Amino acid sequence: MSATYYFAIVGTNDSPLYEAEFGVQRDESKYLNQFIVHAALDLVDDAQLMSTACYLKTVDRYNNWNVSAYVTPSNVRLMLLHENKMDEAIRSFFVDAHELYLKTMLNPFYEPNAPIQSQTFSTKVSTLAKKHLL
Amino acid sequence: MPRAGLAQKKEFVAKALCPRILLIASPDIHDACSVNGLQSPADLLAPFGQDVSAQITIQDGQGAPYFLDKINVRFISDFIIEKQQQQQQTKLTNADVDDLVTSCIGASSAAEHADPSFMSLSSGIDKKAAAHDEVSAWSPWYTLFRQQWVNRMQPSEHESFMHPVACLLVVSGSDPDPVGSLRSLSNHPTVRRAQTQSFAGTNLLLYYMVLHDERRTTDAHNVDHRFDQVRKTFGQHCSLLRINSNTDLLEPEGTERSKISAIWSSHLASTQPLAGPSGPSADKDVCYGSMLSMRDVSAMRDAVKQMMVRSVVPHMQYVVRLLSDQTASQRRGITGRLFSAGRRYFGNASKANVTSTGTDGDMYFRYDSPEAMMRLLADYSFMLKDFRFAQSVYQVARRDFLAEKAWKCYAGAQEMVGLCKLMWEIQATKAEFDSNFEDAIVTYMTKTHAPRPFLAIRSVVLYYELLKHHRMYTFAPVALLRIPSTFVSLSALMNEQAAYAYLKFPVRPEVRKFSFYAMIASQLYQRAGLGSMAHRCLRMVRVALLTPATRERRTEDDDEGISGSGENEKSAVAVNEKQGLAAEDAKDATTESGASTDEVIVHSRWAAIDSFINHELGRQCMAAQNYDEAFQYFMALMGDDKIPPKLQSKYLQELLQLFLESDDRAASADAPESQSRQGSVQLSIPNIDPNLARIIMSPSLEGDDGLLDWPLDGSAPAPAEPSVSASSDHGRNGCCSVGEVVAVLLVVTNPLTIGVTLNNFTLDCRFSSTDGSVDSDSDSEPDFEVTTVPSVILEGGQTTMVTVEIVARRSGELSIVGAKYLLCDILPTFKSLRLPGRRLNNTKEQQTGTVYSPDSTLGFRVDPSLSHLHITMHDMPDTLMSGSVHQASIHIENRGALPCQNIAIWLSHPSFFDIKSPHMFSKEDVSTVSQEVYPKQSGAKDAESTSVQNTLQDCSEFLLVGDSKQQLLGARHLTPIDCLEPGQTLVVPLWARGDRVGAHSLSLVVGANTEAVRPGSLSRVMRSRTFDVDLLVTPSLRVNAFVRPSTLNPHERLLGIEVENMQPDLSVQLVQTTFSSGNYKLAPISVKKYQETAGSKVVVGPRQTISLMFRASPHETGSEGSEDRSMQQKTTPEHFTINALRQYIYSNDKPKQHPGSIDLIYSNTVLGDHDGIDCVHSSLHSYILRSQAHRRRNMLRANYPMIPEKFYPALFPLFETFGIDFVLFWTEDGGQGRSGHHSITGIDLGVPYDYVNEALNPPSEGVGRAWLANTINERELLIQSIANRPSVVNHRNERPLDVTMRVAAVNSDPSTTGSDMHVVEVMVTIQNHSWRYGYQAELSLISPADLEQLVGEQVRLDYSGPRSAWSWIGKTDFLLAVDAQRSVVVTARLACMAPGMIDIGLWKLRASALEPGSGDESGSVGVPAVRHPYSSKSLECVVHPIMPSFVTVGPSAE
Repeated sequence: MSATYYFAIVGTNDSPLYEAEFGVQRDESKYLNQFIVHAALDLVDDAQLMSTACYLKTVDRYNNWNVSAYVTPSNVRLMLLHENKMDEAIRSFFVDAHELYLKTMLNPFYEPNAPIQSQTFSTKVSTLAKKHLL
Repeated sequence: MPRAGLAQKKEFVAKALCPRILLIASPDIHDACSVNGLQSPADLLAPFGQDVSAQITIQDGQGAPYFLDKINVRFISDFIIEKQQQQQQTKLTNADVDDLVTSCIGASSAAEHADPSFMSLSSGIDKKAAAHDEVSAWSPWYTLFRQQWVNRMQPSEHESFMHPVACLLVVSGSDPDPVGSLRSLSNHPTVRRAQTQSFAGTNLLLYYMVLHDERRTTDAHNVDHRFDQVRKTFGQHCSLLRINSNTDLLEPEGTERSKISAIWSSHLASTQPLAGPSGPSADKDVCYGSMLSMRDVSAMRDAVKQMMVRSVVPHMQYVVRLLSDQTASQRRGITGRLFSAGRRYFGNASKANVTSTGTDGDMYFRYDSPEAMMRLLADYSFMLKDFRFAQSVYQVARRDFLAEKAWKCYAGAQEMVGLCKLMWEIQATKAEFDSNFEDAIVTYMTKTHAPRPFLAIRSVVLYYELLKHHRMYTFAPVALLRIPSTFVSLSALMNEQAAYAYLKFPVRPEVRKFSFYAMIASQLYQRAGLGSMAHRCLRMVRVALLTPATRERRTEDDDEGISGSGENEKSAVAVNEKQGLAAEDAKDATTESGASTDEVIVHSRWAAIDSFINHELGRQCMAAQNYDEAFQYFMALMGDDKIPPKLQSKYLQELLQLFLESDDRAASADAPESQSRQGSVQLSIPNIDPNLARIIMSPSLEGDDGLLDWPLDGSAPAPAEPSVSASSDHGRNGCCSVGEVVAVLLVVTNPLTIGVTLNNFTLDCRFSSTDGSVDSDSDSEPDFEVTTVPSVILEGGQTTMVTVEIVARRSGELSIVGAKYLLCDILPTFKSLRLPGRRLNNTKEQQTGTVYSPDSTLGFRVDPSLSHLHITMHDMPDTLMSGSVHQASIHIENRGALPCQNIAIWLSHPSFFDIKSPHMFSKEDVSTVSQEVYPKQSGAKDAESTSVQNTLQDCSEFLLVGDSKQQLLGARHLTPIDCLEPGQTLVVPLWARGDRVGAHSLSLVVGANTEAVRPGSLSRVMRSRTFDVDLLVTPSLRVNAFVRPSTLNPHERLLGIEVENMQPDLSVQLVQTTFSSGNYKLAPISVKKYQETAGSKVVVGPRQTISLMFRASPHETGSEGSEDRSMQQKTTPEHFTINALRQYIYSNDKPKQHPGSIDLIYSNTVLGDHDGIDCVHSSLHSYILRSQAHRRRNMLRANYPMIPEKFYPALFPLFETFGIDFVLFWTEDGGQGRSGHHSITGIDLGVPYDYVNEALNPPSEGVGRAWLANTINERELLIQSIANRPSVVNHRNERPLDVTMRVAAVNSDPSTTGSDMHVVEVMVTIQNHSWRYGYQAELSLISPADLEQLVGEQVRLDYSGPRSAWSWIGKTDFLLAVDAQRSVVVTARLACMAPGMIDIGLWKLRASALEPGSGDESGSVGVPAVRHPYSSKSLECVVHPIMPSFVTVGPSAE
């Protein structure tokens, strides 16, 4: 499948904690990915008031890109930029990724809102992506 | 004010969709217009069509009355639905739109192109301002654009808006036959066309007007007459208008004239197409209405009003009513629809007539068809602002159009439904107008015969205006983005508007969305070639990205410090402030770049976004030739390490390109400007951390240089206090002498992943002279010289050290401002090396706020008074066998200009080095420099008594140059040199010895001063060089000592020395043993046998162990008088320790006095046939003493952790009376001939009494008062720690008293008795070991026959001698008193049956201690000792013998 995914964990201060791309990599659109996800944060803010669930489904759309979001109780947002609509797969991806993030938070040396640089984390996330998305 | 603004937006729609009146004038009218600078009568009347105040009550389509406040009308001079025009509309080309947008943007002034008001660089986006301000103010070109777009509207068959509702026929008042002229005008081809093609059809209202030109005064009286004729002929739809009353061309009043002119100019500005940049400016000079007076103006206004109110509006109302009736059946309920359906399906004939294909290929309805009539009805209602009715009609019409698949008509109706909903205020809040518009636009673009972009865009424009009116910005972005994306510049414009709409969102501004759409707009502008607009948009993005950060800082202060991003933030703000400051500075200095340097580099932490923005902005600035700003962006790019390498190299190439370009330009412009700019280029690559920068004096030498504070008591030199050095600044501690080479070591890191080169790397330094004398030749000779590193190659991510050397030529302060280099041999770069100030945390303000100390710079002081020495170490070993010695030397050359008065050396491990007296270096005596470490001495004495200073002085400092009186005690053998003149070299012989096995890091500090030590000072500051010597000591010999009491003589001890050779293949020849002790003399016992085996040499082979035995016997001093002895006792080391320790524990004033000297007996044994080694009188002696002191200190440190080391000399002596120190000299047998010695310090010859514990008891007087519980506790702890010290274990079987027996005389008297009975006189010595108590003792001598009595006490169970062989005779019980450290001798007698060896160690001693000093006279019974917690456990004890005591009883005669 030639789908492209861009996954970002956004901290409470709107800065990205973790970024990853799955599937077909497109170098030139990297800034666009970030822009779309960044802009979608505005809609996440709106959408999370409307829903009690963590998973907000697709919150934004730009051309053929969809942005799905998942808000953790601590207001850390997991954002996924994708082309195809696949709600359930994305939901399970988000739930697992949230668990990974929680495990990172348990690390006493990790400070909230600090960028996640762990290699293990990124391996696990890409495993999750393979399992659920690709 | 806002209300007026709001009305404007709604009015815009009303004006755009207002009724049109076709104006046909007879040709002679044009003259009357042209004198006023106007081209046509339509232009003349046009301003008065705006906001005609109708103020009438009219009826809506259902007959309900409503009030019409005002109405707009437009005059058109032609009506045509031309094919050509239609095609033009259809093929709305990109270029057309681009031209329009460009001209709109070009028409707005430069001030309007500045950043919008809600933006400010310091605080990001001001949200209050964003919510409050009007969108139109942020982009005036959009206002122009929408007006222009609406002006371009063309009549179409599907709607009646551009069709005339009435026709105005104008004839001149001077026309002799106005009626005839009007009739002919009504047959004008345009009127005919309007009647056939327009919606109005034949019902077109004709209105007649007689326009009288007042200049034609001749006709004045005829005009009224002619108008009467017209009125009679055409009824009420006619009027008379007089103009051009201003006959005198002289300007009556300037203000009135301009006011009149402004009526037209303002109107024309909005309606006339923009004719490019030159057009509007040409029109500016034109004065409109020069022949008109204010009376004419009001006349015209009245005429238009009259026409509208009296004729046009009633006509339209009539039409509405008429059409309403005609179409009522269709609009009403199911019957109407059934009827319509019936008609549709059964009346085929009529259907064919009704629809036709329009000029543009779309189906439309003929004007007399019911569908068209409905549309007309709705349009007229709309024009008359009866939106509710209009909407219902549109909805019905829409249904019909949909059924007929007349898509263009359907789309138009949809659009109008939406517009009506929005125009009708009550419904605007709930109606789903958005779907109407969406449907309309989609239909316009996709379903019609050909796409109708013009109509689609018009729809969007109108919709957007109404959304703005209702402040329903949430719909705006979606609506704006529905425009066809083929028009790049238009998309850009619309995206920009969409971005603004996000800022105007009702709940809160959606800044992130704003930044996204502004970015899209920027890219589209870029594609459309509108660089400046693209730049403006991108700047907005950048500021918007900065905004969240600023918001956080204000409201979430407590969250700020948590993340690493806080740092980023700080740096961003810091950059911000710095830039801001720079901008302020630059404002008056450079006018050109003043506006552009107040930039903020973005750090949004979205790496790709940042790099994209910075790159784009940089490229845009480059394109705009704004190089300074471009530089900033590119430099921000260069500092970003998250950019992929491919992009990094691209960016770097572009930056270099940029520099070359700007350089060319600057060079061509003016040289000085480029100079100043080049100096100020600061780049973030590579990273040079000023905190890691090191200034190294004399880089060619080893070791560290610095100013150290040398205390005079020989303890370790410490870094000098900052106040001592010239500047208290951090990092300013370095100083050097004039003409000295100073190396500056910089750690340079490349943050990029691609390699770069730095060329001509050098430092920018500032020199401030302190000598005050401004030399005349200062121009010829620079103050300092800095070397240049030609090229530094940095791979990606690499860190290298760059060394730059500086030579200062004069005294002063040199500070290093920054580094200069050419990046990639092109870009001259300056990198500041300012040290950021520390975060202060002292006061409350500093703790609550964020305060930094002022920045400082790297630098050093150039002080000519400092010594400049060239110190080298020669032959310093790195590996030594333990114990072996190696000769090394230190060469000290004075390279300064002043003589050195004071040079000292300090050793961290004094036991590792022996330093001999220095001597001047001269070429000849290089060979004779080598000295023997062990001075030979012919005829060494076996035993020698020497008085030795018994002070535990840790001597680690040696004075090499200076006053010999200041030489420390332990280094007295070393005679310093007075002064080291410039150019002279001093050689210091140095013997290194492997003192202990293991890897050691030894440090030597050589300090020098050009001044002599001032008397009275406690320390001196000297320029010092610290050498670190790593020495590995490998094991060679292992020497153990063990002690046994001698059975022959109880006073003697046997000392065994066990020497194990650890080397696998090396034989060691033992040369000499030297013992030193205060009490014992040692003589070898077993040496001979070794000597015999190896030919007078004692050789220990590899892995071999030999043991040497020595007998230690108490040394008999010359005079053994008791007076002397008591004198001596008072000064024994043990007494000293007891007293000092007790004073230390119990008294408030700590002991200061050092112990006196002690007489040591040196017992030498030369193991071989060569000369002995003199270790008593030579400098070796002091070295051995030093090492012994060092070792003893180590031991004390382990034993007395609670006692500070500085008290050791005052508490403990170097030697104890009964200790033995041992030195074993050896040489390598064969091989390299290395030699060395091992030593053992403090061999305890087993005195079974622990004197230190005595000190723990409080003295009878002089106990310091301790008021505080704390002090008492501390004292208690100290006493505990001393009592439980590790070495106590060795003193387990403590006996205060001991009994030794010696045969004094044997009186065998066989002759008298006739038997072998011998009577032996035995001297029994009771030795008191206690240093404190005297003892009262009861000694009972026990005969072996009585031994059974003692079995119960478990003593002497080992007695194996015959029970009846001998027996004590005479007095066997003695009562005696023994003072401390004294002995008492009693004489007893025993009788023995036969000669031989017998064991007489059978006695019992019952002792009780006496309080010291109580028994003044010998014999008198003292006071029993008081028991203290730490006093000896045996204050009252019974002592039994623990070992046999053999005596030989034999005939005395032999």
